Amino acid sequence: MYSKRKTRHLKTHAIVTSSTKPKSSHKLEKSNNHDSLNHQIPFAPSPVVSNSNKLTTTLTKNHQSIKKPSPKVSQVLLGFSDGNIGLEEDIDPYLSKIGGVPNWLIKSFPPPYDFIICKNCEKEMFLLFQGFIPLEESPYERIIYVWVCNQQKCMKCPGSFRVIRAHRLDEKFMKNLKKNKNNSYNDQIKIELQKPSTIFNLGDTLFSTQDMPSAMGGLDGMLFDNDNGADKLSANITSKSMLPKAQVVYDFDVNHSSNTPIWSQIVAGPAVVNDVDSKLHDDITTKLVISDVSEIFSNSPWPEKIPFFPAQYLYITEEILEEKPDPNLKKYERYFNASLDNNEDDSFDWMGEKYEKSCLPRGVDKAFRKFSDRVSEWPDQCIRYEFDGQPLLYNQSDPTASLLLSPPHGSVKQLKTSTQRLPKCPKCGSKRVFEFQLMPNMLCILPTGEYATNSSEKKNGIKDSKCGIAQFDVGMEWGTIMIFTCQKDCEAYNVSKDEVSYYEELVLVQYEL
Amino acid sequence: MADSGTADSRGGKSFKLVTREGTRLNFTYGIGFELVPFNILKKSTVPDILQGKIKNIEQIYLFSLPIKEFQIVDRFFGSSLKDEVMKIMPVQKQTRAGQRTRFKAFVVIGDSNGHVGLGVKCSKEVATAIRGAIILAKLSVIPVRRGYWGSLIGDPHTVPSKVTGRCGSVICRLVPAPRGTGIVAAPTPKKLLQLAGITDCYTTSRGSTRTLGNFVKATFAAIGNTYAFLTPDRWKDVEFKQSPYQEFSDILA
Repeated sequence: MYSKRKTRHLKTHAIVTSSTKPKSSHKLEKSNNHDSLNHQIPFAPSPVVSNSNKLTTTLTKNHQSIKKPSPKVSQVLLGFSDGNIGLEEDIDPYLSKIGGVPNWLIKSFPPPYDFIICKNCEKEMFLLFQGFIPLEESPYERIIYVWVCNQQKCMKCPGSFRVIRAHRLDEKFMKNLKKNKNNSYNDQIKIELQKPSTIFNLGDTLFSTQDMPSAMGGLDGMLFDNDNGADKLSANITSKSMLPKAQVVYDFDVNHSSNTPIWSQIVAGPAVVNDVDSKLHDDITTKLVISDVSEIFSNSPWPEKIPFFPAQYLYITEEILEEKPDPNLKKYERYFNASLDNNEDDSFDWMGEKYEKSCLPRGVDKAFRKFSDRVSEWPDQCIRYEFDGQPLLYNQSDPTASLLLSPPHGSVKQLKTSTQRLPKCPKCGSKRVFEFQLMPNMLCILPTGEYATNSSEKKNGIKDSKCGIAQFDVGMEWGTIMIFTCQKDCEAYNVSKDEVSYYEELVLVQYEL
Repeated sequence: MADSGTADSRGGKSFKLVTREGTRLNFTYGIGFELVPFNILKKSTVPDILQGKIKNIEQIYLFSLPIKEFQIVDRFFGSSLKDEVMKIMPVQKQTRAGQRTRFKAFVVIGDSNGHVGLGVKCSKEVATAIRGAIILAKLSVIPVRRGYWGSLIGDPHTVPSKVTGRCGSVICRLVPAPRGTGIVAAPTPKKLLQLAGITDCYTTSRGSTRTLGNFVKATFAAIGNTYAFLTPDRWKDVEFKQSPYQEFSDILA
């Protein structure tokens, strides 16, 4: 049912010729897209026509003559940076981009501002990626935002990488879906149109306390009030004045093993946060508590200006892998036919050689070799997208990798990852699957160094914080960021088109070494 | 092999920094479609390489950062790096179904002007072994310090002092030689020393040098030790201060 999801495909637009850079064609699409209900550019591939011609002519100098072109199109979509977005153009939530200001599905319905405060250093985090990624057969507009803290000292600490998914109902698309009988979302659509009784069940489990601070908004109190659920809702839903301005429903992961309602946990204080990407040696499943929002009640308004990187468009295409020819081995061709009996004359000198494993530099292991080989085909890729696919691991020996690789400590010959040991979605209990990963090339494109503030108090040993290796010590640093989302893309609150619901998803980070 | 040695521009200060945990040497970035390698020293230096702030590989050596991608070495050296296959030999492993043969390739790479690398790769096919060995050789490129035998005229031409390296049972010792001597060594390490840019050198070796794999690795280790050796010209001037007992004698008394 939900096993295979494909992203919506672009209208056949960009016929990429070899002369034009992707920029121009991409902007062409953009100009059609400022109509907010017009879903033009989800995160989807643009059909790269005449791909082999374009690619081979502009490939690296090393790939001079392709003797046997056998390009293989993989299922992965790549995102490349495609030009700056001006400040005044950076308003479209239906745009996938890197950096920039976050654009909400409904402007007056942002997530809580506290979400983007780094838990480690309490500064604001920077938006790294915003992607409009609606799933097929889903009536919701879906955007994923990734925030990262730009402080060197917050790296490898919990709470400095966060990702949320936003949902909003798309009525037009839902009507189209209804017509399709085989659609698996039919049940959910029926719920949309009726008085939702399931909400109250949800409310019982979630919210046991009665007095909600009114900061939450009237409708929330109504929805999740144990006592007079149905009556109150029907009575109040008609009066528009009761509908609060900022009705935001958000949901964050909490410890699944606990049975106490989430509300009370949150009110009590910040839950224990264990970083998933460090200290995962012992029993992983019980310790894994993904970040919990401690001040969920705060209705702190978003400030006028938040820090952000200059935004870049994203050009999405399919990944095409080609077999690389060997450039420089012509002079060694005489060795190629070497056989066992060729070396008798001077084998006397080289006796006693045995098979030895290569001595690799520190940090290079099998997983990294695969990573670098795969990425070197398209070195400036920023995003790799494959819903329910296999992420490219940065290394195979850090805690994140050991969480993903199966079998856990056995031989990792094939480096196949599985997400069965990751925490499940707190809303629907389904497992999480890999969706996309951010590549370190983004750190090249975004000027993270310039936007970072040096924390000079940390470097006590070095007199001058600018000398030596410390001068490079600014901003964020990571190897790869992998995002895992609910496999069923659950919508727990059945939002309508006037509301936006936010869900926090799982982010795993792999660092160097 | 990849992360030993410290950089020392001729006569300049040099100090060895322990590699910090936060440093990265991996990054991919592209310039247009030109294949530019990952490797970044730090996040901020990736654009530095792009902008030319990291001009030469000596700045990488200064911080002992591991080089994880061979394209970085390609970028710094361009075409001046020459690679040479020293030997391809089959190695065998006894299995139940007979013998399994793989090919082991030894490749040395160098620019004959102060940088060498050695790569050893074993693989089922010769071509794969050679390709892999070239990549490993590039990853292990190391700076070579050269000095003078006698008078300090002209360019450095020999090793700065007697250095030694060992691998397995083989010990290889390099001794400074006067100008014009040439490299006095067995053919295999001679190739390595030539690619390093050492013009004159005496060598002494001991142990089972028939295992040329170990012999070559021992020579490579000796070459790497040229920068590890603390010579008097690298001593820093120490200003003499009072000992703490003297300094705080009034308090202590």
